[in-house]
Formats: sequence, C-alpha cells, structure tokens
Amino acid sequence: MNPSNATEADAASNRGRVERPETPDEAARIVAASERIVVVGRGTKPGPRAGDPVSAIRLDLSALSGILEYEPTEFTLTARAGTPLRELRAALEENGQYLPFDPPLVDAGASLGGTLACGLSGPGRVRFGGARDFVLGLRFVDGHGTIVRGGGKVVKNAAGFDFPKFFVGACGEFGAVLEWTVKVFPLPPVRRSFVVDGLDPARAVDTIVRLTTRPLDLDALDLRPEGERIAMRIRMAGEPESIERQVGTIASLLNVEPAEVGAIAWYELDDLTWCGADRTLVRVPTPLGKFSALLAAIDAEGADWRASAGGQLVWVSLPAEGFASFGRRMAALGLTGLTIRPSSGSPRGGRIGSSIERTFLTRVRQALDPQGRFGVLDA
Amino acid sequence: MNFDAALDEIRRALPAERIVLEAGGLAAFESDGLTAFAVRPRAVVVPESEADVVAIVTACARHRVPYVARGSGTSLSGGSLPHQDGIVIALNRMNAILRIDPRERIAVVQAGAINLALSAKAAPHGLYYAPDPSSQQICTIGGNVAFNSGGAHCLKYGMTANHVLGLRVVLPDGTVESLGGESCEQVGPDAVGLFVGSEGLLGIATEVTVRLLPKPQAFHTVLAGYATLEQAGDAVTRIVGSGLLPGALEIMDRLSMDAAHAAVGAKYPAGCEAVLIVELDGAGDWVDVERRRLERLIADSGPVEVLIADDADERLKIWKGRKSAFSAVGRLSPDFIVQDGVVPRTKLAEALRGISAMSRETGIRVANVFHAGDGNLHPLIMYDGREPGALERAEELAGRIVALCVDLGGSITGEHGVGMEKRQFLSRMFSEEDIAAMKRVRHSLDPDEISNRGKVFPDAEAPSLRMYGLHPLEAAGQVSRL
Repeated sequence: MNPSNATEADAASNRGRVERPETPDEAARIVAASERIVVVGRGTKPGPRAGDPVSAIRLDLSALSGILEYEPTEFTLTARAGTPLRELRAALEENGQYLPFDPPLVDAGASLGGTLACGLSGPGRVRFGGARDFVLGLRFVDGHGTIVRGGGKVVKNAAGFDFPKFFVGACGEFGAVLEWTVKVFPLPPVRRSFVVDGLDPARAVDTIVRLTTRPLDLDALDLRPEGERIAMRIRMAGEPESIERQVGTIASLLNVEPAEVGAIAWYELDDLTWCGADRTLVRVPTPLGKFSALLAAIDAEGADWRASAGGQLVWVSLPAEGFASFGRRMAALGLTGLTIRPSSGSPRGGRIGSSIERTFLTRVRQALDPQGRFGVLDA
Repeated sequence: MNFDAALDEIRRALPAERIVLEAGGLAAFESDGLTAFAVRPRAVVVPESEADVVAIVTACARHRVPYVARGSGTSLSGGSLPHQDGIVIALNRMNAILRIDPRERIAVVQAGAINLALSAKAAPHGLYYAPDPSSQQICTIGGNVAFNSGGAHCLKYGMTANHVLGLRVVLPDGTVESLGGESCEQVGPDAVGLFVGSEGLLGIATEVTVRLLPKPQAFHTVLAGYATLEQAGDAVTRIVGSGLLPGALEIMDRLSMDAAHAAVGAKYPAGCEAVLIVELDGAGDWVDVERRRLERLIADSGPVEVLIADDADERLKIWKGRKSAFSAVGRLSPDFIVQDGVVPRTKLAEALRGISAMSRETGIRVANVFHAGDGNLHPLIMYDGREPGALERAEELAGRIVALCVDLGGSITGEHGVGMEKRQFLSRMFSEEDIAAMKRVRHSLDPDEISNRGKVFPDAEAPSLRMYGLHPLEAAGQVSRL
C-alpha cells in the first residue's frame, strides 16, 4: 500500500482495533467480520506491512502459541503460528535437533508464523535448504473466513495442492496461517567457522563457485564488507574428524589458509542488529550472477550490506531517503526485495523492485481472498 | 464444447504431421503407468515450442475442449490418462536442455527433457539433479513437476518441489508467465511451490529451472538381511534416531526379493524375510566417519547377514535390484496395483502388520517395497485381470490400505500423486472446506476444468475407463516403477 493510503485523518478517527484471538475459530470469526485485516505476529518484522492503512484491524496471533505435536523420531513438529522461535529452539535442542533453515531473529523474539510469512532463512540454509523446503503442512483462515488445512504431518506427502509452500513468503496476503507443521533435522555434532578476507567482488564470487560446486559439508557461506574489501565466513558442520580434513581441502582449493573464528564475530548476521533504527532493512534474493551488480547499486545508495546463502541473499541497510531510488535500481536488475524493517517513523515497506504480481497470483487471490481482506503488498 | 472448431484452430497453427487422429496413433497414448485403465483421446498433438503450446491451449480454452499434457506417460496414479472427449498434448519433442550454468548450479530445461539426461549433461561439471524416481531413465522433468515426484533419496534431499526454482507456465486460458527465478532465495508467495505437484490442473509448465547439486564424492551402500520385517523396521528407527541422515533407507520384503531375483538376478541373503538398504553419501571424509557409526548401529540391530558394496559396480547391483522391484513383480503376477501411502516412520511396523493381516484375510498376495526413511510404503497388490472381479477385489484392498495409512496419521500418497486412482481417497485426508479451497484455486485459473479434467478431486467427471494390461514400456522392461 502507498503511504498516502494512511492519511492523518485515518489515524485520528479510525485507528484499527487490535484483535487477539485465543482459538483458531475465534480467528476465523474475526476475519469473517472484518473488512480489512493485517496479520501480526510478535512484531519483529514490521516492514512487509508497514504501508497498510491504519484503519485495518490488527489480527494479533501472539496468543495462538505453543507446540501442538513434536515427534523427534519422526523429524516433525507442529506449532501454532504465534509460537516464539526461542521456544521451538529449546524444545528441539533438548532432542539434539534444529530447524535446518536456520531462522534469524530468534533472540529478538520472532514467531514461527512471522518467520515463514516473511520466508526468512538464515545462514545455515546453505546445508539443506531454506524455509520453503521444510514446511509440511498448515492451517489457515482464508478470506472467506474458512479454516483450511493443507499438506500433511508426515515428511513426505503429494496429496492435494501445496498450500504450505505457497504461504511461505506470502506476508499475510491470501490468508492468516494459524498453525504450521515443519520438518526438523538432527543437529550436526560440531560447527566451526573460518574467515577468508581481502576479497574483491569478482574474487568473492569466484570463491563461492569453487566451494559450492564441490561436495563439502558447508553449513553457511556469508559475506560482509570490510573496508573496501569483502570478508567471507565459511561455516562447516559435521563430524570433527571429517571437518578437520575438509578444512585442508578448502585451503588447497582457495590457496589460502582460512583463519578460524568464533561464532560470535558473525552473530550480527543472524540477528540483524547491525542495521540501525534510522535505516530501512531490505532482504534481496539474487542469483550469484547479479551479486556484483547488486553490490554496485548498494554502494551507489550509500547503503550497508551483509550477504548470506553463498551470495544469493543480500540484506541491505538503506538510508531512509534511498528507498525509491534503490527500488528503481533493483527493478532495472530484475530483482525484487522485501522490506523487513522500515526506518523509524517511515511507512515505506512491502516489496520493492521488480513486480511479482501477475496473472497466476491474481487468480489465486481471487480464489482465496476475493474481497481483498488481507490486502495486497506493493510490487 | 466444440471439438471440431478447436481442432480447426490447432490445424492452422501446427503442421498436419504433428496432429494424430487415426486410431493406431492414438492407441499408444491410451494408458500410462496405471496399467489398469485406458481411455482413447480424440486427438494427440505434438508441440515443438511454447508458442505451439499456447496455440493449442488457447484453442482448447475457446472451445472448452479438455486437454491432458503428457511426458513419457509413466504416472502411476493415472495422472496422464487421456479424456475421451479431449486432446493429449505430448511434450516429448520439447526435450531440450537449454542451459547448464555450473557457476549458478542451475539448469533450464524444457518440460519434455528426460530426468536422467539432465544429470548426464550436468555430470562433466561435477553436478547432478537429485530427484531420482525409478523411472528416471524415461520420465520427463515436466511430469516430475506436475506430480512432485520423489525417489529413493527424499529424506535427505527432498522431492521435486525442493529442486525447482523457476517455471515458465501456460495457464489454462493461454496466458504465459514466469514464476520464481534463478536464486535459491526468493520473495514470496511461493507460486512455484503451489504449481509443482498440482497435477496439471493449474496449467502446463513448458520450461523448468532446477537447482543442481555437487555430485557426492563417496557412497557407502549396505544391504542388511533380517529374519523379520519388524527387525528391519527397528533398524531404521535406530539409524534415524542416532542422528545419522542417510541419503537412502529402503526396505524390501521376501516377495519383492524373489521378484527382483527372478527379474534381474539380484542376490539376497538366505533365510531373510526382509532386507534393508542404507546408503550414506557426501564428502568422502564425512562418509568415512559416518560409516563406522552405521556399522555399529547395524551390528546392534541383529541382522542375519550384512553385505557392503565395495565398489561402484556392487552399489549399482544393489540399486538395480531395488529399482527393478516393481516391474519384477510382473513375473509373479499378471497384474498388480502399486500403492503409495505414507505413515509416520514409527508406525511402519504397525502398518506392515495391518497390511499382512489384510493380505491373509483376503488371500490376495501383497509384496512390500518401501522408502523406510520417510515412511512411504509401496505395497504391490497382485491380481489376475482375466479373473472376474479380481481387479475390484484388489482395488478394495488398496482402499483399505490407504485408509489405514490415513488413520495412522499419514498420507494417501507420498510421491505418485492423486491422479485418477486416489480421487475417492482425497476426502479421507482433507475436509470438505479444504477441498473446496483447492477447487476455488483451480476454478479461478480454469473455470471450465479443461486442464487435466477428471483428476484429483473426488467428484470430478471421470473419463470412461476400460481395463487394460501391463504398460507396453513396462512389459518391455523400459520402465520400472517406484
């Protein structure tokens, strides 16, 4: 939505109620009775819906919280959307397991539902895949106010349309997801991180290619600026003995001895604390081939960045005034980003860059939310 | 519906030799991998480009003629069974591998490209395409996309949907658009995820962008024989519970071993009611370390005998036996139905006991081959189609097995899709509201249900069927099932 939709008159006379359902049925009734809804989780990622009209009713899912089923031997877990990731992490770690898509903002209090709605994966997605690869089933309220179940609760299922995948990244459009079933994996025995620095963009891309086209037990491959150069973190996961040997392989592949670092030095990439409140935080997926051009666009805006997923995901910390021009630069590159956090006091949010809304999505919206109760994001 | 008007339009767009109308030519398309059924379509058309597909679909849409897109016709759920009033769009000539980009680790292929051909083309770059249905020598990527095909390595690597990054699709009204992209990360909603596995109901994928993985450097493949099926199942629980994540975890029962032995000479330890196949894969160092843990776990699970593949040849032999098991059952019985239910892994033993009790009670032989790692069963229900009522009895048993899977908390299908075969079971898994939501999506894209009409939904208008024998490709040993 454009910021102009949220006029000051709106704000004064018609600020939307906050509804906090305690049961799925209650959530469905609220949706059915409301003209315009914004689904809210635990508030760590206000960016995607920053532009919604203030008169919209906030459907706060934080009371729909808690693990419903967890079968460690089945590798499956079902939890309500409002469940804090922290709670999931604790339950999983007790059983030596984890969410392999490695969601960020766990300690900031992010919920499972908000994380999947934004389609967020963390550095560890390099090993087995991202959020979309670990969703198995869901229950959501569609725009008709009906509760719909999709997918299943087993690790393999090909029955019916794959609504679970569709809702990853949907940002509260099309419906409100109340419950997710996800696949989990055993934690690796150990993780070790190494740093290679002093790279220019071309060399960084080349290093990524060298590492990712070989069967190494990479667990994360992150990059960050360091002065005029780029530093790369390589995180390995697996058996101590096998990692030891693979570090040798990497050293000979890259012709440098990677320096070992503690996890703490790169902690900020997991928790995004490096992006100040006066900046807009945007998540930009890109093919590796456009990585260098994207870095140039970021530089041109005077923005800061961190990259993850072997250069295929770039987090951009953008000066508030650069939102529109950065959007144009991304559109020119054929890239689409998602605002995760707007800069303080700014209503600029949603998707930016190249538009993803075309016939297919429009038709699905007509089916699931014909009255547009859940709104439509920009781009 | 005006078939003749649609055909006229198609004739203006495609040369005559790519439009098949005579009975002999149509006969080859009557059936797919679900051999019990056959339907003769009105026409088969063979597009060579996206523009051809658009012309065909647009003509069908304008005149409300149903169509079925088809690759190699290996669907085990009857997903590519023709409609008797409709057109089969045979995508086999659109089989180009358009691009292999080793730096991005992606490939762009046309829908008719063969699964194994893609891996072969990627091999010189040290890469491969992970999903490996048993029919991979012949099945197409487009078909894999339609049915979200699996294979033996899903526990660790996921299904087709986990490997598709982007699609070019022709929607049922003839609109062409691109979904997804070339990055492993995307800004959602995940339209690609919804399209993959929609069984042709939401349109036709003409181009597919997939991710490629580095070929594992090393494999460690073990075949362990057990006195009982239950012991083999317990071994699976132990292995998975230990935190090991094998690339494959497969079980075959005695009947399937006998079949594989008869068909391809596969050898199995004597005195075993079940064999477990475990495969570790990855970087050489990692496999080295894991194999020691696996050896201990297997030794503790009380096997009768353990065979370890010492080289690539022995590994291939183990897999040949496993992957031939379906068609091999054809040696034991003139006809059979393959089921595809999923149960939670911890309920495997209970499911197998249930199936074996049903088999005893009905006197119908059932062989079991399954992806134990992800609880995906493949009971092979044997019958003789010439015997009156035999197919019906076999189908009834199949229905009871599906019901058992759902009751145990599983799914009616793990990787074969709903298709024709399991339509009546969809409502065992989903409520009326769930199915209504899927139908709304379908009707929003395809109000006249022209795209693969009669599939997936319980009350869908079914093509009229007649019984048929073994799939010709299967009888010739060119296709096997998984």
